[in-house]
Amino acid sequence: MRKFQNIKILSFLFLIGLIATSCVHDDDYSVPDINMEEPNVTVNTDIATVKGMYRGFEPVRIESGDGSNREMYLEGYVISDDESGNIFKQLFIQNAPENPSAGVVISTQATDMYTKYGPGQKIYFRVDGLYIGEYAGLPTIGIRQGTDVGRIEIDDFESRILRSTTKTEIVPTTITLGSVNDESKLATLVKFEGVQFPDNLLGQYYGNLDNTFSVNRKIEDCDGRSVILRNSGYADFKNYPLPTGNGSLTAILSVFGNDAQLMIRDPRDVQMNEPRCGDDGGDPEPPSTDATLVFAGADFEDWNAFIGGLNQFGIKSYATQSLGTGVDNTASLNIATTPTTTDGNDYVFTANAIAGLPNQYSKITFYMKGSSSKSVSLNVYKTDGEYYKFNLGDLSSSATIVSAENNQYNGTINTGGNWVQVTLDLGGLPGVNVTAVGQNIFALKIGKNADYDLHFDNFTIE
Amino acid sequence: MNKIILSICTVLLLSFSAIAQSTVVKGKVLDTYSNEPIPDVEVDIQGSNFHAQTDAEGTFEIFGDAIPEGEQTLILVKAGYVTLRIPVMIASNQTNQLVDILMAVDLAEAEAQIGIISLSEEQLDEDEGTASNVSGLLQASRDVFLSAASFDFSSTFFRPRGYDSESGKVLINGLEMNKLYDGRPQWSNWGGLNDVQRNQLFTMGMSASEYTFGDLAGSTNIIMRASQYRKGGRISYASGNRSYRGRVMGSYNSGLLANGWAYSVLLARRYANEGYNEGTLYDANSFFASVEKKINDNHSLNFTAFYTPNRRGKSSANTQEVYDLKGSKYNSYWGYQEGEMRNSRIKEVEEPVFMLNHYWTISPRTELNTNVGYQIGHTGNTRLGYDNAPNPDPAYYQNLPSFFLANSDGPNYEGAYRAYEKFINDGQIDWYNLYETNILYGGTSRYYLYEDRNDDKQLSANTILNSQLTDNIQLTAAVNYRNLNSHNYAKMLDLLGGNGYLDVDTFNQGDESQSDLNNPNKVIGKGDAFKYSYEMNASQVDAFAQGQFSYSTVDFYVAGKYGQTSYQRNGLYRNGSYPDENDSFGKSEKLNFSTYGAKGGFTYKINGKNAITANGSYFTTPPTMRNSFSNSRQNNRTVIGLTEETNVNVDASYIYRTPFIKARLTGYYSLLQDGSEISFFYADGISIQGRTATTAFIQEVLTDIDKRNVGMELGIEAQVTPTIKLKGAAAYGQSTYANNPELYITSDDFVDPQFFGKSFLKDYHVAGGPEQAYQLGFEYRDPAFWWFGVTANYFSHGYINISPLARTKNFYTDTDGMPFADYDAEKARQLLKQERFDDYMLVNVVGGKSWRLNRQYFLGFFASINNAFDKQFKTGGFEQGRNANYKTLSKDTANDTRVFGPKYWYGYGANYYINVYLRF
Repeated sequence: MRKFQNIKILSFLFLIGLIATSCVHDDDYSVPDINMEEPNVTVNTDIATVKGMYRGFEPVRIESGDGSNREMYLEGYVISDDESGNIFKQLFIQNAPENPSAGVVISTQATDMYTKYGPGQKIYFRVDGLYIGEYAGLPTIGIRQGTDVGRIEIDDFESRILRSTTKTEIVPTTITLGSVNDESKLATLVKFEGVQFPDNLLGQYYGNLDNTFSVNRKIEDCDGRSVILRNSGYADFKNYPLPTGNGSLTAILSVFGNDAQLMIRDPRDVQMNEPRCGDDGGDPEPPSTDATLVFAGADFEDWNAFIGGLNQFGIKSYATQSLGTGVDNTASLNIATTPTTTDGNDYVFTANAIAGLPNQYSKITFYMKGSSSKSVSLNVYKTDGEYYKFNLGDLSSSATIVSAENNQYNGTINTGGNWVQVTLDLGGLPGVNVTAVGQNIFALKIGKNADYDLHFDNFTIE
Repeated sequence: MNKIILSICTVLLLSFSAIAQSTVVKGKVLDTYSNEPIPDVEVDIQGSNFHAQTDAEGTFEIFGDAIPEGEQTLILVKAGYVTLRIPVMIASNQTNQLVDILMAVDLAEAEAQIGIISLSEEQLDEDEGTASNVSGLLQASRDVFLSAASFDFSSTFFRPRGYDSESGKVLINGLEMNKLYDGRPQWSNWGGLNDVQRNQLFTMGMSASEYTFGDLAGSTNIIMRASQYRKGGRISYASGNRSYRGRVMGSYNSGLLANGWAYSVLLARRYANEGYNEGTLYDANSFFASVEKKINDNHSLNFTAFYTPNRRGKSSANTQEVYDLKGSKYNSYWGYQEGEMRNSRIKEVEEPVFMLNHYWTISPRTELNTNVGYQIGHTGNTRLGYDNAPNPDPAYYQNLPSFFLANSDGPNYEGAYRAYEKFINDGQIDWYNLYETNILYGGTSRYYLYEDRNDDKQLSANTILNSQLTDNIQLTAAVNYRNLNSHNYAKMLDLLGGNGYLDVDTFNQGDESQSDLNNPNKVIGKGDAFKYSYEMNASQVDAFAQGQFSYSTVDFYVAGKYGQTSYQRNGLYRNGSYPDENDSFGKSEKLNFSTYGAKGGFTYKINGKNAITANGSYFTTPPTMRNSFSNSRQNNRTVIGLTEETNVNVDASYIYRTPFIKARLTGYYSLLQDGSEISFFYADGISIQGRTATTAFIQEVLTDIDKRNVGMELGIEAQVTPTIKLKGAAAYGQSTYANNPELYITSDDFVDPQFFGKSFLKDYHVAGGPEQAYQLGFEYRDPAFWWFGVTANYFSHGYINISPLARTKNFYTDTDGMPFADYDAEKARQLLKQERFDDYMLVNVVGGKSWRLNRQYFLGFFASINNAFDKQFKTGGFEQGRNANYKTLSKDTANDTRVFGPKYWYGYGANYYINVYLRF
């Protein structure tokens, strides 16, 4: 029996021993040491030399002599940042952090390079065996793809790029819109002062909200010069509204064919908080004598004519003709609601086009007075049934409104008991229905569940 | 109500009074070697319906007026023991006290069980697509066909009669263990407890169970009561190259002690740094304790607790291109760090269970079993997150040669070669690069490791009444209650060298990118919750009643059930894409489901050798919680068109049984109606009118799904000589969609659900293991306690899991709502043809030997080699959701190697398992 007791004890010891030696790594791993040493490379060429190898037309192989395989390294400072997605599969470098004399773009399949090669990062790049060429005029290092310069594969790219321990601030070169065609500034970081987005872009967004196509937005200076700012449909800031002030813009100077174009890294490159130029700040320009009423009865003196010119939905009951309250004590259109009047964003009326509207048009002007807890949105219809949207937003004095992406009722209106003039800017908006009599031309919309007490008068177009 | 109670009482009283004049057969069953009493032995009087079970002290009593008198045969059956047939003389209207009956351990059987259980357990809790294995349910079955299905077919994910594990019920001490979340038993909650789970009562299909209404795939009640274990201990060591490399286990049972107490304990550990597939670690401990006090002859109180914390590394499904490059053991989820294989996808389960069981023998014919259970703990599934950084998956399609060859500007051979070289030579996660990216960037983590986590608390209670109303009638009734609170969230585990994590969704912009508008732009650290957080509350009440009627030539039963289930989501985050009140934050609509059902069946005993049985059932089940909310991580929206599922089932069997041949032939038909299913994936080729982008991360919701399972199964066993047994099994079935379900998709990329109408799935096969399986085998048992067996198993008609979205009108519709210009119906039919996997044959060899060291000590050895000829075979696969339309799919299939080809799982090649144990 003794013997078997021993077996029991021994086997239990065996069991405990096995359990103790059967460790499996838990998931507590320590952070590995990341190599932060300066790479040991001999820099034996530079951006300007490599760019100089290009003879036009086809990309040229970068080498130190015919067929030589000698390693060639150049150094550069990263100026691009692909985190926002506006720049994609391109790494822009220039030869100095300040006052550079040359810049170039490396075209690669690599993405998310900002994590390791962010702006200001000094890098070494092995260029032998690659090609120097131009993509639509932009000097580019890449691989040869037919007669074009193509993207370097990720692994090849990673084996060629080395990260210095130096990271410094890049000081953009300040230039004017007059010198955007200076080739020596191509693919470098530049800065413009006193620029703004043109009037017709106010209310627009950086990118294209409907799809992922890139869009060209212009910026202008106070001397009337302008240049293209190209924004990707993949940029994560594409739905940010464009700033409405005047100020500075930092960007990479690029080119597409004959057009210089700018690429920002992200909206922090755009600092436009100063007052715009070109706005005189005085009274708005009143409608000229050429202006005609937009729709029948648009001065509200003949109510039946007005009602007769609306589409089949007619007018909401809370909108009435108000005698003696209009401009110069004429009649006006009065809209009066309380929060319980409407529980949807209402079309107050939609009016049809009338004969005799101007074929060339630039704006619609009208007058309004009163207050409301939400704002007003207006549609100007095109011949194809689509329409431009204009949102009055916060309004307390005369204003010029540019078209927007969609109808919005945010904001409050209070004219302080005075008539103000509202101008809808139709500049650059093609296809407004000035021809198809009896089809929609104009609609007025208000927001739901809000107080409105507004008077409107004299809708004219010219 | 009172009337009902009154009448039940009357019935009970009547049955008590009936006892006085009965014939009684009493006896006690003991272990031959140890002389310990053996509990739970089935004792039958052959050719009658009179039977009993031994209690903890090994005693049994058979009552009844109509007990046949004279010379009769008693049959004693207990798993792990040699079945006994002993002649007895029964005198009527008196108590017949038999001498003690000795039963001998069936060593071969006991060892086979050890091997079997370890074989299937590892496959039970696999990842998506393979989680539905039911073989665990069948382990206790002694049916020839079902043991083949459990032991030899399970490695192929063969599903008996086409059912998933959610169609089978697992009970422990009478409490249902299937999860309310997905209806499936979480096998790893009791993994490694093999030595204390031998005692299982299996009910095949819908036939009558004394615990539950049951479900289509059958039910198993695992009895884990201290008093029910035979006195003694066992120590074992097992080694294999399947999911774990080593297992040690020790257990001891006291048996019922003289003072009325009994206890049982078990300790086990299973481990592997790498299992069969690359990088699949396994780290599991198991603890079990049970204490029971027999208060008096009528009352016993048992407490059972088990805790089986386990972690395992998952293995990826891969395209054929990847398997061709890296072999069938390849797993893309791991990479080396600190010289160790670090797996990025680890599943961790830690959900201890506590239960209190009361057994009340109200009368010799009536027992009431009342149970209360509580389970608390968590499950976690880790994965790598990446924001504004390249996908870290080494097998990401852009890293594979096919991507370069499919270049739209013509094949890029150089790129393909580079990708080939890199993938062949490395092809694993580059952990160093992930740390490097985070550290060099210096900001919040771009790469991070997190866990999708459920913290669950579940209370269960039930009471089960079993009463032998008359000699011929047995009544079973049960009431069950379950309540679950489940907190689901993402938990940050490792920032991989970064400084915190900014919790915004970089695929969205503005408010929509916020995971929680109530707490926007939060930077979180290790251990914090982020991405999503919500609670699910579920409660279920159901009742069931059953009458079993036994007569000399016919047994039959009828049963009915009724239940109520409710689910409600409570969002803890206000998701930026769903900011409205109660759309994501706050409580969802409360979903209520009423379920009911009835079943019945009979056995007609033609004579001692031939019998016919048939079962029929019609019942409804609630949809699972998983399939009730269309996108529970982000919002409160419930599935549109959700309803209770309806099940209709009939089966009939012919049974032939002689001392030499045992055979069963069954035909079955079942229809599962009104099901719903949700899947999540990134789709390319979604055509929504007015939306130019055709890619989106979507939730695909399928409702009104009807599935039909029809087929036959055969099991036959012949004891050719006392030492040689031949066996055969065959399954011939079809599991198909019986209608065209409705499909819609939702996504945070577009506002409204997009309805695509019907998904034309009718007559496609429901994926999951081979539909046909055949086995031939033999077993040799030497009287000198050694044995071996060989089986050859042939499998065919396995099908791939098809993409329902590709079978809707989306397949041929462009974004303008019109069919694609180049649409060719003939080619479309080719493209949508369901892939059938190749047939294959697996040969399994098992054997063992045991030695009796003295009266009490046994040493045993068991070994098995499965798939001895190292056959490579696919166990499953699915079409990728990326190719959602004709254009993308035909473009992809035009390539020599598809970029978005189906992903597959491969079964194990040749593998072994060895177990050595000492029993005392």
